[in-house]
Amino acid sequence: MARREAEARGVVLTWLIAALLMGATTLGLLLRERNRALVSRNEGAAEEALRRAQLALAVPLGEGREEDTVAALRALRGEGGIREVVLLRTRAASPELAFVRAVDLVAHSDPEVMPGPLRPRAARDALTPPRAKALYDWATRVESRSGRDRTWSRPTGGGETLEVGMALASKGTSYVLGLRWAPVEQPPGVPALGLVLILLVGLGFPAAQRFLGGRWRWLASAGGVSLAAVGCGLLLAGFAAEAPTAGPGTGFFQLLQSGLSQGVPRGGPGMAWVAVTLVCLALPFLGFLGLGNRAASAARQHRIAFAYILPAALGMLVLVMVPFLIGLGLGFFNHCDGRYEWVGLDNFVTILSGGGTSITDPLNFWFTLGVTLLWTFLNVLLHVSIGLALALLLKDPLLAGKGIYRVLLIIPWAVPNYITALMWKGMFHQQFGAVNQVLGLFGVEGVSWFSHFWSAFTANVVTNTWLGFPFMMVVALGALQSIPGDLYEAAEVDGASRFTQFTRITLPLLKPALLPAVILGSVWTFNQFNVIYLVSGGEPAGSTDILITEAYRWAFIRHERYGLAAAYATLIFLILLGYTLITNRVAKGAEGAMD
Amino acid sequence: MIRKRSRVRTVLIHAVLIAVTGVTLFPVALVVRKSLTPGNEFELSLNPIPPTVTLEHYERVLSARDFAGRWLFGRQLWNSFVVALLTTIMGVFLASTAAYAFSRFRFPGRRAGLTMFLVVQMFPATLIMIPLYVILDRLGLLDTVAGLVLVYSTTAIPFCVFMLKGYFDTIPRELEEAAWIDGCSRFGMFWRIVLPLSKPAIAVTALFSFMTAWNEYILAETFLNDELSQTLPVMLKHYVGDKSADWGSFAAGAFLVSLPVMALFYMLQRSLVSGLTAGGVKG
Repeated sequence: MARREAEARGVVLTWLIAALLMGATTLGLLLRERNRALVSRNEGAAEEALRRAQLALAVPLGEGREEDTVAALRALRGEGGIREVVLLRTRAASPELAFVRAVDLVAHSDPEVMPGPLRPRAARDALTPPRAKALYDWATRVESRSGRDRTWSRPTGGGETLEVGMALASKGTSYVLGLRWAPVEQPPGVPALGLVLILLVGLGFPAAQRFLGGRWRWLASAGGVSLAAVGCGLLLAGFAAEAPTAGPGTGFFQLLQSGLSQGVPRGGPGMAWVAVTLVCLALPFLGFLGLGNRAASAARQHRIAFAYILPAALGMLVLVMVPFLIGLGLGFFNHCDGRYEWVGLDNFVTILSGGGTSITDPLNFWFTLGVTLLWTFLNVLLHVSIGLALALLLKDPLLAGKGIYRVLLIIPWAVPNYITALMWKGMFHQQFGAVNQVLGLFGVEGVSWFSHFWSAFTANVVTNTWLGFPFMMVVALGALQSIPGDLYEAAEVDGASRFTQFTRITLPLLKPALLPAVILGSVWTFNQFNVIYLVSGGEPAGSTDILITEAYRWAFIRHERYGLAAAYATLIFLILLGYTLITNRVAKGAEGAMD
Repeated sequence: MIRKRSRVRTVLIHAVLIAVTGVTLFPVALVVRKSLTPGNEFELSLNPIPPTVTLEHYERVLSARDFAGRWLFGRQLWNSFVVALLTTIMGVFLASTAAYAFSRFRFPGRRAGLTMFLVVQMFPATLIMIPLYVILDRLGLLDTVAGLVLVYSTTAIPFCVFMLKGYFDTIPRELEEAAWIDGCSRFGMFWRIVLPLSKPAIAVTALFSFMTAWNEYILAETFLNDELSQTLPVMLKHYVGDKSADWGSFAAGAFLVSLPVMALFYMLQRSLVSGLTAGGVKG
C-alpha cells in the first residue's frame, strides 16, 4: 500500500517538475523575442558608428599622417554614445620574424592613454591588462582576416560595450581602427556557470541519497534526474542564442562565449520545447527504475574502484565529453554572420543528400567519403604489410645488427607529424622536389603532383605510409616474439613449407595482437588531418580532401559554417563508431578485448 | 634448436633491410642537409652531403628574439619542456590508476567506461577544439601551461589506459594475493607490486604522453596567442607559413625539435616492443 502511495506521489511530483520545465522554456522563448528587438537596435547603432568613423577617416591613413587621423578620431568621442576610439598599428615584431606581430597603440580617444607598444603581458599605463590583451588579440585577428582589403569586422563586446573594427593595410603595416560605445540596452541572459551549477546540483542529489531514508530518497532521485535534465536542456538551448552584438566576421569563439554567458534559450522554439517535453515524459520511468538508488549503492559498494578511476574520468568528462556533447549539439544549428539558428536535421540532410552537387563533385559528401575510405584502406594495408614484412625480417635472432635497423626504422614515428607532412610537401615540389629528381634519373618528366587527383592522392598516401609503418612494425615485432618457437620446429618436423608455416602459424597467432592495432590505426588514419591538410591541402580543387579536412574547411575557411562542420564531425564519429563495433563483434571470437 | 641460415639468404635479408632503411632515412637526410646549407629554398641535388656547411640556420632559430629583445627560442623551449614534462607526469599518474581499476576491480560501469575510453579515440579533433577553447577561456586557462597540460593529458589518457590495462592483465594476481595475506594495503599492492612490474609499459606510456605534448601543433596554435607562451611546434610552423617560406630555418628547427623524441625512442626502444605488445594493444 505504502509503496503504491509513494509511486503515485512520485508521478505527481514528476509532472510538476515537467510543468516547471515547460514554463521555463516558454519564459526563455519570450525573452528571445525581446532580445531580438534589442539586437536590431544595437545593430542600428553599430551601422551609425561605422558610418561616422568612415567619414572621419576620409583622410587616408599612412606614415606621417597619423596626427590628422588622431585629431579626427578624438572628435568622434562622445558622439552617439561612442566611448572609446582606438587606432592600432600591427607590424612584424622583429626583422627576422615577419609572422610574429607586434601591436602598437597609435591613438586613443582618451588623451591620458599614452600611445606605445601593446603587449599581452605588459599593459600600457592607463590600459588594464585584460583590455590590452583583448585589443592585441583583436587587432591581430582583424588584420589576418581582412588581408589587403579594406573590410569591416565586428567583434563582440564582452558584455557592457559594443565594438566594431576595421583593418586598413598600407605597405606592410596594417592599421586597425576600433570603436566602442555603450549599447542601447543589453539583452538579459542566464549565465553559463549557473547552468553548470544546476547540472552539478542535479547530479549531487543521488549522492545525497545515502543520508536520506524512505520517501525522501525517492524524491532526491527524481529531483536529481530532472534538474540534470533542465541543465542539459538549457545548456543546449543556450546555443541557439544569437550573440547580441554579433556581426559579419565575428570570431566564433567570442560568439560561443557570449552565447554561453548570455545563454538565453532563444533559438529553436519548436525543437527545444519538444526535447524538454520528451525528457519530462521520460522522467517518471527513470524514477521507477530507481536509477539514483542503484547508482548510490553501487558507488558505496565499489568506492575503491571509483576512487582509482575518478581523476582520469573527471578530466575526460570536463575536457573531452563536455566539448564533445557541445559539438554534437552544434550540428543542429546553422551559423550565419555570427547568429545561430536552430535548423534541426537540416545540416545532416544537406550533407547526406549532397546539397545539390553531383556525386563526382569534390564537395559531395559521398565523394569525400569514398576518398576517405580508399585513403584509410590503402594506408592501413600498406602500414600492416610493410610493418609485418619488416618485423618478419627483423625477428631472426641470428641477424646481425638488427638493433640498429630497428632504431633507424622507428625514426619516422619519432618525427612530429606536421614536420613529416611539410617535409614531404617540399619533396613533392614540381621543380625542386626530391621525388621528381629521383624520377628524373629514370627519365620521367617532372610530375606536377598536386594538379591531378591520383598523383596528389598518391603523394598523401606515400607520406602517410612513411610516417605510419613503424608503429605496425613494432606491434608486429612484439607479437612475433610472443609466438613460441616450438610451433615452428614442430611444423618443420611435419614437413610444412615456410609459406604454410606463415599462413597456419604466424598469421592466426598474430591476429589477436594485430587486430586492435589495425582498428586503432584505421581510426587514426581516418582522422589524419595533418597529412592531408599540409601535403596536398585538398588539391586539386578539394578532391583529395577527406572528411575531417572537409569539416575543418567548412568551419574555418568557407563562410564559417560551424553547424555544418559539426554535423560532418558527428557523421565521422558515427562512421568510426559503427566500424569499431562491427570489427569488435567480428573479433570477439578471437579474443574478448573487454574482459 | 635454431636452424642454420644459408649465406645467400642472410645477404638477401640485409640487402632488403638496408634498402628499406635507406629509403626511410633519405627524407630525414635531406632535411638535415637543408639545415646545414645556406639559402632558404630547396635546391636541385639529391646528394645528402651538403656542399658547404653553415650553421646560420641553427643560429637564426636558436637566437630568435622578439622586438623587446626577449629570447623567444629559450622561452618556447622552456614552455615545450614544462608542458611535456607535466603532461607526462599527469598522464602516467591518471592512466595508471584508471588502468589498475579497470584491470583489477569488477564494478558496474566498467564495460561502459572501457568502451568510452575507446570511443573517445574517434572524436574528430575539430569537433572538440571549438568548445574546448571556450571551456579553457572560462576557466582562465588560455595562454597558460596548465591549460595545455590538462588538454594534452586528457587526450593522451585513453590510449595509455588501454595499453596499461592490457599490461596489468598479464601480471599474475597471485602476487597481489600473497601481498594481501602479508598485510599489504590495496594501494600498497598497486604501488609496490603492479607498478614496479610494469616498468616497460609505464615507460611507453610516459613516452606517448611526452610525445603527444611535445609534438602537438593544432591545439597549441589555437590555445596560445602570446608568442612568449607558445610551444616550439607553433613557432616552427610559422617559418614556412603564409608570410614567409624559410625552409632552411624550418629544417634546422625541425631537426632540433625532433631530436629529444628520437633520443627517447632510442633509450626506450626495448621497452617499446614489450610494453606496447606484451599486454598493450592486445587488450
